[in-house]
Amino acid sequence: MSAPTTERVCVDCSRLMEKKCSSCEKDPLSLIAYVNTNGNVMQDTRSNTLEELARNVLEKLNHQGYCVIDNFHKEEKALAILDEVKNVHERGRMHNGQLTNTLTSENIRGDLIAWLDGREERAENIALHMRRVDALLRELNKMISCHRIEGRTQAMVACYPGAEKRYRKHVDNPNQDGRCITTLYYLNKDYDRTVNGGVLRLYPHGGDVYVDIEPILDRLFLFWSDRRNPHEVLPAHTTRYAITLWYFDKDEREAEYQRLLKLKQESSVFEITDFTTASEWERFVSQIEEILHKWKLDNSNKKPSFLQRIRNFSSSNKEENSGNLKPIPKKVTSQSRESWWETLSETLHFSDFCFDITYHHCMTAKNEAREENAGFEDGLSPAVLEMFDMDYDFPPRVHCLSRWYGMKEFLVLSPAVENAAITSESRCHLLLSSISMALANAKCYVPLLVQLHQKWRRLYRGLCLGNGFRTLFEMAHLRHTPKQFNHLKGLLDVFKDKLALRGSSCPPVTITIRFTYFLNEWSDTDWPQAPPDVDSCLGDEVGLSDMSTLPFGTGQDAISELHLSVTWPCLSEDVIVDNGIYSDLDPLQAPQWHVRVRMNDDPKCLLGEYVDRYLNLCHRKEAASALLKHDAFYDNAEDSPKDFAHAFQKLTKPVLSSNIQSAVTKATSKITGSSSDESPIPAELLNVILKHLFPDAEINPNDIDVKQEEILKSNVYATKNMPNDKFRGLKGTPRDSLTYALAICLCIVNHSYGGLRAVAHLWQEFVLEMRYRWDHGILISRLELVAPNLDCCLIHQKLQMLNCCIARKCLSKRSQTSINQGDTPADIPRRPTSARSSCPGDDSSDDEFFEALEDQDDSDDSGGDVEGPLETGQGNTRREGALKRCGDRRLLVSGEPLYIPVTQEPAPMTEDMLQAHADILTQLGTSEEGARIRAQMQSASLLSDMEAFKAANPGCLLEDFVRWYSPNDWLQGEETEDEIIYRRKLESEQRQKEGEQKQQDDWGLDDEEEITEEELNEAFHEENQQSEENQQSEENQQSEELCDQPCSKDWCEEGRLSLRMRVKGNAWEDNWHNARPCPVRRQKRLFDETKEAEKVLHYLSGLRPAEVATELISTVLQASIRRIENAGGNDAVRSSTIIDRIIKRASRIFDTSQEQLTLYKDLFEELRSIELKIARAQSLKCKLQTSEVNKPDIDTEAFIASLLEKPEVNVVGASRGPMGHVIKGLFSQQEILRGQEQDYDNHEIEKPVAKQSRPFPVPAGREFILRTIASYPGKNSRQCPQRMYCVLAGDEFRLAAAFTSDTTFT
Amino acid sequence: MDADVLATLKILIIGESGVGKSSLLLRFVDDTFDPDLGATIGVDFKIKTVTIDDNRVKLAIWDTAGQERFRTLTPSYYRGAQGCILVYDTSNRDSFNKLEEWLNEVEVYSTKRDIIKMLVGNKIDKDNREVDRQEGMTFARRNKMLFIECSAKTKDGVQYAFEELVEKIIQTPGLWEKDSQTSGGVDLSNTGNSVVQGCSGYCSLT
Repeated sequence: MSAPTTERVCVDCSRLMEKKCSSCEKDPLSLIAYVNTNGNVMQDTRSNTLEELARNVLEKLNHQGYCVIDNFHKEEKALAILDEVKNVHERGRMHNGQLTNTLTSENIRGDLIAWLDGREERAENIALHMRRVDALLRELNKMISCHRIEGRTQAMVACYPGAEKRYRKHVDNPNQDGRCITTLYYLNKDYDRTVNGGVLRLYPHGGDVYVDIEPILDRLFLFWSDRRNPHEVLPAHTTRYAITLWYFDKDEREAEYQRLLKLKQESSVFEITDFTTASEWERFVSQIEEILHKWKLDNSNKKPSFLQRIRNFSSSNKEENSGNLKPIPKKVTSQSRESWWETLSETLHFSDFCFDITYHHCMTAKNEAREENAGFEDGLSPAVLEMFDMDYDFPPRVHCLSRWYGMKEFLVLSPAVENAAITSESRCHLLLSSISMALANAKCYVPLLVQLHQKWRRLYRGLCLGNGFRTLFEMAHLRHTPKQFNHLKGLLDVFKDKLALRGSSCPPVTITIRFTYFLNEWSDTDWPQAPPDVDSCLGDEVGLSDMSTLPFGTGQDAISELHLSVTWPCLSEDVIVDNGIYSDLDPLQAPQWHVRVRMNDDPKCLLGEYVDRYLNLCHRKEAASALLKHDAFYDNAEDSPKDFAHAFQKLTKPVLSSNIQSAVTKATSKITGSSSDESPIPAELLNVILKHLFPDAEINPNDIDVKQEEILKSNVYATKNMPNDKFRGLKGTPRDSLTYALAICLCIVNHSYGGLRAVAHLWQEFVLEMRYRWDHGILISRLELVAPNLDCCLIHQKLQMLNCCIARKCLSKRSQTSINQGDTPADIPRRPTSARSSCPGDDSSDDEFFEALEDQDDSDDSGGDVEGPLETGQGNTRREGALKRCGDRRLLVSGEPLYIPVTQEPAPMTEDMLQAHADILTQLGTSEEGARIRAQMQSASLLSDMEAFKAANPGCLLEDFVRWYSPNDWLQGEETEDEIIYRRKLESEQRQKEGEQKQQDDWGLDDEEEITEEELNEAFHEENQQSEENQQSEENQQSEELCDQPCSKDWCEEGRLSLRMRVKGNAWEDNWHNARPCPVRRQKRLFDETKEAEKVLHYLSGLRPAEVATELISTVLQASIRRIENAGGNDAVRSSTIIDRIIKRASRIFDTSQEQLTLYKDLFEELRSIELKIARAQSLKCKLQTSEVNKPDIDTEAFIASLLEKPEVNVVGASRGPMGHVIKGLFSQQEILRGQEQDYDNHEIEKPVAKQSRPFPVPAGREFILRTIASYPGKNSRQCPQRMYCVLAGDEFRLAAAFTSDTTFT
Repeated sequence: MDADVLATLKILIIGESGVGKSSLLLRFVDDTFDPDLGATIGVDFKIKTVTIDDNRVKLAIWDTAGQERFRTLTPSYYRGAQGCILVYDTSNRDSFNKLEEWLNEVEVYSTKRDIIKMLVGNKIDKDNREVDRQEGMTFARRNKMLFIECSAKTKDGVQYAFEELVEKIIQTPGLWEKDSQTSGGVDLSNTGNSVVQGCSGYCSLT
């Protein structure tokens, strides 16, 4: 057995393997003799023989670094060991078994391994081997001084399964992991180097010189494990077995142990599998494995994958029945296409080359359990089966690999760096063998593909393992289609050649074909946007009709291309002919038509663009004054520009009583006149805008007065709110209001007529107009004359406030003039005459006092109720400022009718004023004192009412006031429990007081009075009234006198004040006492319109353009939403739900701070996307709704809607359906448009198509999927699914093949 | 503001004069009762911090005057309120009959769309009940309100009423959060997920 060894290679010292070295033959042989003779009698002779053997081994190790011992056990034993090893292999125990093979010849490490500790079943002889080597090493240890050998690894049984498996050059222990000596024991019977291969090539001392060790049966080979001995296993041609044992250096191992201990404190130390992963390559493979484990792709196909498990979890209850199985080639419902892709990604390194590994997985809403197709052998990867899912041919918008291979789950390994590419063949093989290893080790059945060459080529190769099967993914990519492959026949030939099917009884090939045609030339009428109106003064802005609406639509066609794909699914190869000369493939006959639209990604959405610019405006910092040089506006030869008011008067003086229109023109002409280049908005345009904003400027001034009169008369100062539409809560403005129009104008001006400066200019003009109107008492048009509406934006509230001020100013001016003119009862009909006569002096100082507006207004309406002023006959008790009678009620004391007085309305307030007011109230805190001050602060209005009441009802009591003002505090009927308690309390107090008084006053007098309860009651009532009256101020003495007068029962109401009004010193009582009879017109007014108007104007003029824009942003949002709604895309886009959501979100925006502005940005972004969708729908509608179909076509609508939503839409009825008809028409139109110039010459491909004068152009792409089931690689192999995808397009020719081979029966 | 306070909520109490709005508030905040509590002038307010479902919430409760004439003054305080307590007197039918008007006020003046409304029938300690519990219940149901009967005098139900209201407010998304962060992610339309990463497919044909 040993003879070949000496012949072929010198074990001990030959530097070249051909060179024969005679001197060396002795040693091994002598050693062998020892072992051989003592093999079976170890117990007896071991000490002697082993000692000698060990000494020899040590000598060799020290000299050469390695040592070979042949016939270590002896053949019989060796064969027994070999049997056991083979058994391990066959039982599939090697590296978790079932390891099939890798395909490439350049494996770096192609062995399969299993770790044994010798206690396993049927490993007795392996255990014996281990014991013997142990014994040898123990002896050796006694002699070695530099190492302390102690302990070893488990036995690694390794098998190179042939097929050129190899292990590249490496060092076992490069990093001092503790391994000291490697022992290899070879088990290859009848070894022949040329036949079997698998020689171990050792490079002693790390040099270039090597020795080859042939792995012959029963040879033990020892060497230092460290860097002294790099070695490799040359490709093994046949199966090659070996057992490896590593012995540890105790100290080194200890250090390593400590290191590992530090690394992971609780885990066990011996991570044995790590020992073999020394090289970069091994690390790379293990990285992939780790990732596969991490992503849970490592388990068998019986268990659901990681993502599937998540999916199961999320839809656990929905579809429990696994009966819903999907037989693969059978059709499933189209719902299976309602799916989405998820990806996982990681980065890993191969040396310094960086890769991304990505897991793509198609998630279906319906969790369909898959089952292997019965037609195929068990063990095929699900991914391979998916490739035979005919329903998944040509999936739209997916990863190209899914498109080409029909896979729903795969891994891609691609260079992470943009420009990095795997170009060399060897690198490619290296990667493929890496993934082969990793997939096998991890037992992963998901296809893994590597991206090769430049990224743009999208060239992939890869493989997928199954149990006993291997699928290889290969790809060819060319820029041009070779002539011979330009038809189905050529492709079929390639397919069959590859599978070596030709000639033999080849199984039938199933073919699925798809041609795709592009439609990208439309006639002009298919474009929905109206051309710009050149004549309009607004210039040539597209989509802008006037100043009242925002533009809408797109600047370019939103649809750029329409793709028609015609499909022939599942044809048998015999049925169809398609070769260089003739083709059966007529698109009009294709059974399936699909349409896709290609959108223009940025077709310039007009509305979106306008609001986008508007949003940008909100972030500008510039003040208006900096943007518009003052001089431009106020420069006047005569006046100092600093004097604003003066300058303004100057501006408006000539038009003081004339109409506003001229004032505006005047103002603008001044601007343009003084420095035309300074003003951002040209005068003509400004005129248009202002006319638009203030339509009343054109009305005759007299008409204005009349109109204003009407408004003032009809005005009820009630706070009115916006109609409760969906925009409420948005803080916008009413649609027909001035503010709304202004916001739109600002938006348009900002976009199209000069940006920020123009906005500043327009705003300045606007504020000027506001001031003009205030100064001249002209109501602001298009603005409801009501108290500020808190639902609207602040600017709107301010304008309303200003309008209120203007209205009051007008009214007070009018009443003043009427007074000055003398008595004109017709003007103010039922004005109490006493008003003027009693206080003529007061009226002159109208700054202090005023006549409440309602005095006139309401008296018009309800004057009939008022019985003329009632003179009581008593000199001082004139009734003043009465509005009307309060029902039939009469004063308690005098019996006079009870009059409701004219009262002051509370001052209108904008929300910022209210906030300030509320803040003040809040700051007072919750203490009693705070509450008291709060009440006091707010009692101004109560006091005013009381004074007016007293004036209107001479001789009244608080009771009378309460009866009108707070009827619930006027009690009638039985006394309540509380009252009784209170009365008793009061009584006892009184009694006590009286008692005390008596004691003080009538000390010594007899205590004669015994008061009954009834008497007390009466006394209390009187007392109560009396005490009230006693506290009346002196002005009210009259009424006190009245009190004494007898009252007749018929008008006197039975009743009493409620307890809380009765309590001494309550706020109402206090106020009542402080109130002096004074009609409203002589009261200090609660609302100072001059002050408030100035405040508003100051606020408005102080706003920076950005602030104006920000304040009006909600209005712009509102206008945008309206615009979109008017565009009416609801049918196709279903925009209303999205709009509702936007409004809901917008109403949650609190204020106009910067962070809230970003929320607006999102909302506008969403609006923009709706606009885009609507524009697309409209464009499609124009194109697809032909003139023949004039009536609204529900089918077309639905078709358009699904075109927008889905990546691909089936055309019902293909070319024969109504939609197919329309599409055919469009294509014919395109052909006509293209005319005759088209030359088809140097395209032979198109000839068959061109010949038949069809409406269709040359297909932009042709795709073929060829499928068959064939035995591969050998004739006796099991039948495997085979698939090839081909695409033939203008600049691309690609073949993507997935060939599955049987690895068991080759 | 306290760091551990989740939110400050504004709650409004409205209803006819004399139904016991201020008493209700006094009972809730100070746990006292004063039969001769003065009639409120304009508005008053009190603050109380409560813990509901482990959330500390600061309540700013605005108490309004019920008199007709004050109604022109108080609407401004409806602004920004998250909750509204509408009180009537179970022993006074008129105060119940006026509820519709008050509810209308809330609709008109409140600036929050989904303000939580609670109907409270007060003074159930009184013998002369004029409004049935069932009637109150019906009204509340018709107008999507919370409903409870209570007595500020005897303390019955007061605490519970406020707690219930606050809990409801907290549970209503978008009513009290500072911004719409929590509700921002409601975009369920899967418009953008058809984009596949990486190599984006066979562009000319897909």
